[in-house]
Amino acid sequence: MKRALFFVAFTILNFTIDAIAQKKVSISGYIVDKASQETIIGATIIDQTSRQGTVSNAFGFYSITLPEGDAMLNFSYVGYEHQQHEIKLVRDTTINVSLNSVATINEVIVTATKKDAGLHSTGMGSMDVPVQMIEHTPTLLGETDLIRTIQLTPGVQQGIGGASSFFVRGGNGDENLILLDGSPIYKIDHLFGFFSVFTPEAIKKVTFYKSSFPARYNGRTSSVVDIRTKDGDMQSFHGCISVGLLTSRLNLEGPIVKDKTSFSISARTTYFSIVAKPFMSDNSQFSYWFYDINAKLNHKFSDNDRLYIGLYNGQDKMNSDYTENDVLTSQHYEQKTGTIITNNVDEYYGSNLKWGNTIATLRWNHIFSQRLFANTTLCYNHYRMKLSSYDDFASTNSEFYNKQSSSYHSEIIDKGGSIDFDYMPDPQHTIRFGISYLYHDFAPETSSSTINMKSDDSQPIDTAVSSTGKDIYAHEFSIYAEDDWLIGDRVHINPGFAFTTFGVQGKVYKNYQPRLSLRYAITDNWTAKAAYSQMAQCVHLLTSMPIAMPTDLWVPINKNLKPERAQQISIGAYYSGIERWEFSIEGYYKRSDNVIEYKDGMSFMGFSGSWTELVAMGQGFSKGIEFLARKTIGKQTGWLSYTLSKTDRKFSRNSGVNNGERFPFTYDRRHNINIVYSIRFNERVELDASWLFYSGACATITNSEQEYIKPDGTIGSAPYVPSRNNYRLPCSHLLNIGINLHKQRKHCERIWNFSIYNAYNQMNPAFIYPKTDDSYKTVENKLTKITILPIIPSATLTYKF
Amino acid sequence: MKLKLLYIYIISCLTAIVHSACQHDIDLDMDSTSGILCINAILTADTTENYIYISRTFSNNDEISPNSSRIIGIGEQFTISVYINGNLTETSNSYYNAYRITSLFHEDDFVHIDIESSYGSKASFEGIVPKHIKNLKIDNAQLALNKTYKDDHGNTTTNDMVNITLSFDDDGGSNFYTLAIGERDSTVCPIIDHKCYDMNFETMDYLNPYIYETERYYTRSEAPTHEFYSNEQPPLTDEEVQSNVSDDDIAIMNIHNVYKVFSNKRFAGAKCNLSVCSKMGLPSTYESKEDIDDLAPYYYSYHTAVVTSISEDYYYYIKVLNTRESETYEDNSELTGPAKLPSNIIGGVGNIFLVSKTSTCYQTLNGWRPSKKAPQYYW
Repeated sequence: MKRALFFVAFTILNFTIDAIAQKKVSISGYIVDKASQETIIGATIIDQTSRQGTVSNAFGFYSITLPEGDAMLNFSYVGYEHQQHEIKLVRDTTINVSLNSVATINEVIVTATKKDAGLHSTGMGSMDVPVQMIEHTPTLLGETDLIRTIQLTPGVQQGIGGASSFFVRGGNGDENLILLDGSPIYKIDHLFGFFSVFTPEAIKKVTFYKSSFPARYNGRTSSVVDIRTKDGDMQSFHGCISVGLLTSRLNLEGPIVKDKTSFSISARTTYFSIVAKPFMSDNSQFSYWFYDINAKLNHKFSDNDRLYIGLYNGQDKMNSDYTENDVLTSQHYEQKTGTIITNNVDEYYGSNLKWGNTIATLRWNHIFSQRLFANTTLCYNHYRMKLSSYDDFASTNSEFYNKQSSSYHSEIIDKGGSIDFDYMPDPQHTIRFGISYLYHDFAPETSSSTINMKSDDSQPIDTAVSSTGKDIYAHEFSIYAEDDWLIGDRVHINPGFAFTTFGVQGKVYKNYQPRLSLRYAITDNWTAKAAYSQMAQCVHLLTSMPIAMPTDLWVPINKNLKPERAQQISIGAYYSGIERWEFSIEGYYKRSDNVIEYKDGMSFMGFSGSWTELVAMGQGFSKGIEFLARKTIGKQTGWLSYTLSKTDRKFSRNSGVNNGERFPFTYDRRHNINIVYSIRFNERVELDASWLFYSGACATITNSEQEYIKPDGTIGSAPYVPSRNNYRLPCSHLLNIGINLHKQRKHCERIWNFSIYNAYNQMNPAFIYPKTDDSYKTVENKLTKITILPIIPSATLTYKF
Repeated sequence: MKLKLLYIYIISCLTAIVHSACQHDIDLDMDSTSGILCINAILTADTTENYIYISRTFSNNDEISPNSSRIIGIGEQFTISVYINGNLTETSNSYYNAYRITSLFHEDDFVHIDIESSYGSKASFEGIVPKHIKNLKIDNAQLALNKTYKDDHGNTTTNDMVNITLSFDDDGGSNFYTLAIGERDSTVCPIIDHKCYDMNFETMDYLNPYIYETERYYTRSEAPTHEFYSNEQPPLTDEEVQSNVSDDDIAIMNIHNVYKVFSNKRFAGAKCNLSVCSKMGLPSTYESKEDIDDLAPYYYSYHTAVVTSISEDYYYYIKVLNTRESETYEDNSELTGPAKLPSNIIGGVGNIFLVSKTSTCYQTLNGWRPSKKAPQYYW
């Protein structure tokens, strides 16, 4: 008894002494760009004394809890000078840090630092995509593009070359969660996918995850692209104007009230129609126009409260009108004259198509204490598409006409809100948790048609038909928690869990999504990582063509279709023992259940109807190894990546997909090589180049027919299909080169960019189909290959002021 | 029309793309799939009238042989050997593409068929004959004149129909079935005919006219087909049984059960009850301006229901055929390509299906007369 009492007293005393001895102090604040006061996301803060560290969150806020006493805090971020602050810690302190940008001062291009480059972060399969990296990707038609930069990373497959669809580790194109300031964005394409909706000038930071998904991201199964836009310079006005071959861009930002309120506006538009006009025939009129506007207002109430209002609006509009003269003749008997009158009939047909997104977000950041930060977001997201077509026959004297018109309209409206907390109780733990709700209103299809007819002396006949598809309402709720947990100096784990529900058509689907990432620092230069994640997806994109079409339709699952679920395991090793270089090798295995494919022979042509019958659910299996060698600092930077991967699909025999036999995924490209190179010769001249090689995609090609028997005993003939996706298209490769010529003028900087997309004019296949002769008979053993993007030079003039 | 106008839009988009695109020919680096033996047959138990159709896969450029078969080589001869329960029952040789099989097999027989070409190709098939169903009967057939319903394409249609309810016992046999409905009807039309043989040419009067009554008979027979509509709830689809499917849901379906295949998952236990609606072959021209009730025709009608027990292979095959019949199906789909037809031939392509048919007949109408007036004359 006495011994027990002594033991308890001794233990309590020890804890008391320890508590007194280990009194903790928290330092927090914002990390900002010194020139613009723009918050910096993902900046690293390390205490050299205790070797503890943290990173700034999505709003530039950081918090680190250290033992009382001396501390040497080191603040760093890619493209910025390091800063060191020597501090004596006695109580909780706020330290706001302003970092100087080095990327444009020194003759170096910095795309990542050693610490950023995956070595010390827990996450694997994730990478930051700095704006400099986007700007140094050679342009297509004068446009740098975020999505094209992401397509250069290992594990990411392109769809059609040059288009903005991308397929990550064997997933479909609709399995990528793309967030614009926290709001999912559905349609990211302009011009059939050759431009994305993201203007580089509006972007502050992009983080791309293909595994190790933090628990706060939910809703898709293959990747997450988290895009944060600029808040606006709080110190001074500046901007840039850029004029290119097909598009022009404008960016303006500046303070409304210095150090209190700022704005940022980016806009882009195209004059494609003017450029294409000389190539159109006389009897046709074609016009295409799009615009993007990103606007943001940022107000700082105090050091503890900030408000952001963001707006994105973008729209595409396409018109085409054709005239065919004298396609028919109409005859009628005129009683008055007793003669037969003959009139020529002309045909007028065409279409008008509009589609676009509007996204509005309201965010409030509040710092409760040195250790607790909260972000509250309200968002509104509206995607709409309207197609109208007409086909008119009219005689020259208007005695005869037959006019048909039709319109088709669909839209999605999302409204929701979320609260996210960052809690940093001590240096070993960064805990994130939160809750969100999203209300979906899917209006898949509303259509109407009219027919107006008149012939001869008869009365006109006017008919109108309309049908409104049923709106589908869905409620999506999620709650998550994760902890970035440092165990000692070498082990870093990030366990997380997300619970989401999706309620639609009276049915509620529950998804349990555990996540785990683990990092083990073998030495200072070697790190091993492993990750496991489960993801769920409850919305899908119905496509009608291999390229992005505005009529592609996002639809939710329903009472008969379950959510798609994916599990992914990945392991990797990282090495950065060579100065300015980093190397990594990652392997992954991913299995998806309830993955969607169209049934054989089915396609969706803009009708939601009973779309669930067009598709089947099955399994996807994907595995691969990704190798990356990257030089991140210096006059010459770039990377070489190689991916070896294999992706299959297997559906049940009952599904109507390949008779239940395993087959390769359409974008199962076995080998993928990306070489990206940038060199800054001096302050004035930079060269960027990229060379891509990827194995051909798969397609179903038949070169023979077979007879088959029907239940009534008759014989028919049908294409003989050995297997779905039985044919592998030829490989694709291309070289893109861009050169930037800088000239510093009195009040601005002028930049000429000259780029060549597909510099050696490689005819990569975008579409293939069996070749036919003049009588439409199939030519044996020949295919016709369509290349959409041959060699395309472009020039862009930019003024930065 | 909506589809047509959507196509106009698609063509407009593609025109814009193709104007800037480049087109080249490339070689199809793929082994030829022409010339593979293709065997097709539906072999019915308990009959000697079965045919096997032999052909080869072909490309569009190949000549069609004079026998209207595809790519049977000149002088190519086939030998078909049929084994039932391990015993060779038949060997036939022929140059033609359709081979009559006279071997008689019954339910539960194990059938093995070898096909050998004089060119050296060989293919074979094995299967077990499904069991017949038991106690098939049509419980009732009710005439429904001018019935309005939604057909397989969602179009509202009005026709003279008959509602047929039938039942059978599964009894642990085959798990998959098709249903066909046939009709044989007779129409007996009373006719009043006038004949005149004499005429007074001075007075222009008819002499000794006489009127006689006679009857004309018309018969019409339709072999059992799958062209009927399901009254069932849940509907007779080829998928898993679904509940709470409304007429509107059916109307917007893209894939319809054209060949009326179903599985025993739709009925718990051994008893299957089905209710279907078939078109009646009543002539529509029985309206008349004459007020002559006695001239209304008499109708006699017999309906035949045929339930075919099929194999699981045949069930999945028919599902693919149902998909091919869909309006949204395209052989040249950009995204998926054409449907892959299942095959159960070893060493070749195509299918041989063993089936057992059970049929029953029911007299639907026995001297039924319509309420409307009949035409005076039938010619």
